Amino acid sequence: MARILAIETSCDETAVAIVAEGKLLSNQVASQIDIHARFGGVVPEIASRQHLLTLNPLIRKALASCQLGWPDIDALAVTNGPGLVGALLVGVSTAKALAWALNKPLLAVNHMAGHIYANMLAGPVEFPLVCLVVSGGHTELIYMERDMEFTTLGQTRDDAAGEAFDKIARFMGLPYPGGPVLDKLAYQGSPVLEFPRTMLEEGSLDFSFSGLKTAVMNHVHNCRQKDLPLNTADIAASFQRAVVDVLVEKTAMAIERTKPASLLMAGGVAANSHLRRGMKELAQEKGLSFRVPPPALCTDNAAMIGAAAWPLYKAGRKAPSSLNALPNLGLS
Amino acid sequence: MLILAIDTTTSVCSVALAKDDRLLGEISTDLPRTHSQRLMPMVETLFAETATKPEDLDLLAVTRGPGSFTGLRIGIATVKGMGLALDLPVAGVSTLQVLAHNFSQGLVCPVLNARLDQVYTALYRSGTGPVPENIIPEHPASVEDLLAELREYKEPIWFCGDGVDLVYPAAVQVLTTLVRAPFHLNRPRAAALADLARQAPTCSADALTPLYLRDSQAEIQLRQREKNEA
Ligand SMILES: [Zn+2]
Repeated sequence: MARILAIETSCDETAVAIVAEGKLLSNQVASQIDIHARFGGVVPEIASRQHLLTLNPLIRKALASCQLGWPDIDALAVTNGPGLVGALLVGVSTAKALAWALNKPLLAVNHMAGHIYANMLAGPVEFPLVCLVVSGGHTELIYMERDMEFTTLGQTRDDAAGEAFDKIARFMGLPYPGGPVLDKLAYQGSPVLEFPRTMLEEGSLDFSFSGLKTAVMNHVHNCRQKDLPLNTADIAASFQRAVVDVLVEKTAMAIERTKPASLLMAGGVAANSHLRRGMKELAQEKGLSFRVPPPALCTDNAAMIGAAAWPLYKAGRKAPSSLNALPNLGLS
Repeated sequence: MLILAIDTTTSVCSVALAKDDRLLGEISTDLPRTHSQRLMPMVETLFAETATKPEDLDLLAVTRGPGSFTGLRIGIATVKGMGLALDLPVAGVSTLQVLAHNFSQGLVCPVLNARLDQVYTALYRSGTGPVPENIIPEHPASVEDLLAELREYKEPIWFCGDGVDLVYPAAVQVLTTLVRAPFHLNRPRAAALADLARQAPTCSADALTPLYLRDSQAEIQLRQREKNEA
């Protein structure tokens, strides 16, 4: 039974997991949300400093939580991009040192591949597949013909969906981090406000959320200027409906074009309850099997890195000791 | 006792292996390319050339700063990972003391470029014992303030480190006797670190902390904003 210890430090979560042949044994996440809340967003230097202090104890905790020692671990996996370079370097340096000292293979995992492979922790999926990846930094439609083979069908041309959520939440004065707060708030309102749904040119699978973001900000600004009451719940519901509409419609187009066997969703914004419902309905309508990770595995974690490392391990795709952190690493 | 010493706090990437009172090997480069790509291949070469295995090690040594924030984290994370895997103690030593240890005698003022018109600096006296004696503790300082601190010393002072170019032109105007280190004494060397580690206090890999000497910019700005609002 091959066991992989996986490390993820690409942003503001220090995370360690142990995954045995695609099955999750231990999933440890030390969140830095409270530390960055004072600054209203993730501060790269502070994230890097925190990873350095947190990582070793978290690795010990992961091993202890399933009564394993180093002889029980067969490989080390680490996120080497995309992400914050200084933060990534803490994980990459640690993983390389562990692999060298233990004389075990090192596996380099793309963070976005990790998000997609969080879905595989629930068992194998049917290929080919389409996966909508939505997070604070990414909005992408990915097509996979087989394991570890990614084709980007479309991506955002400006803000990522999660970024738009965060910016709108901050503009409305909601607490940090804005995404989950906005999701909850939307349940108390109705989508009565007309905000634009940018579809771009005919047939494009790309996204653009800056127009929507500006429209919401203008609306808030107008209400404030005219001293009108600000119905934040209705704004949240209307904004969220517009985002979900665009994401679902573009995904429907991607399905039409590629005729996949299954539909997946991944990334931090995939934890959004409205989006989960919309995508599930779409899969049902198209007669596809649908998979989305439980909310705890949608946000950044190392379980997904261990899951994506498993096919690399099987294929003997070891990373060299000169492995670097690549902040702009792409999927395909 | 077999010691592996690692320094990545400046543009230098340096690794050394020492056994008891003998330096088995040292590799140092001062080149652009990132330490992340260079460090582990250098360690591998050093171990292959000296026919050593990771399990043979007794102690790990690392410069814990000051220096480039990203650079010192690469070295510390590496040593933390090795210490965790091999269950080894770690000696964290000041980059400035390592620089001072390049000299066997006299006053040494190591200076590292700290940007924002400052240097990380300290003052040591070498030759009074096995390790350089600390006279002025590590701190960030403007060139002007540093020279004011040094003015009372009437004997020759060695200047070394990557901040020398910032300090030297002004220092020549003010100080009576000063010496600029030749290049083989002007950068941190893992061999000097390994020697200092033999007499330095050790801790567990988990307990090792970096010596930044400066908060992050975001922290400084937030404190300033809070002060202005109060
Ligand atoms: Zn992510």
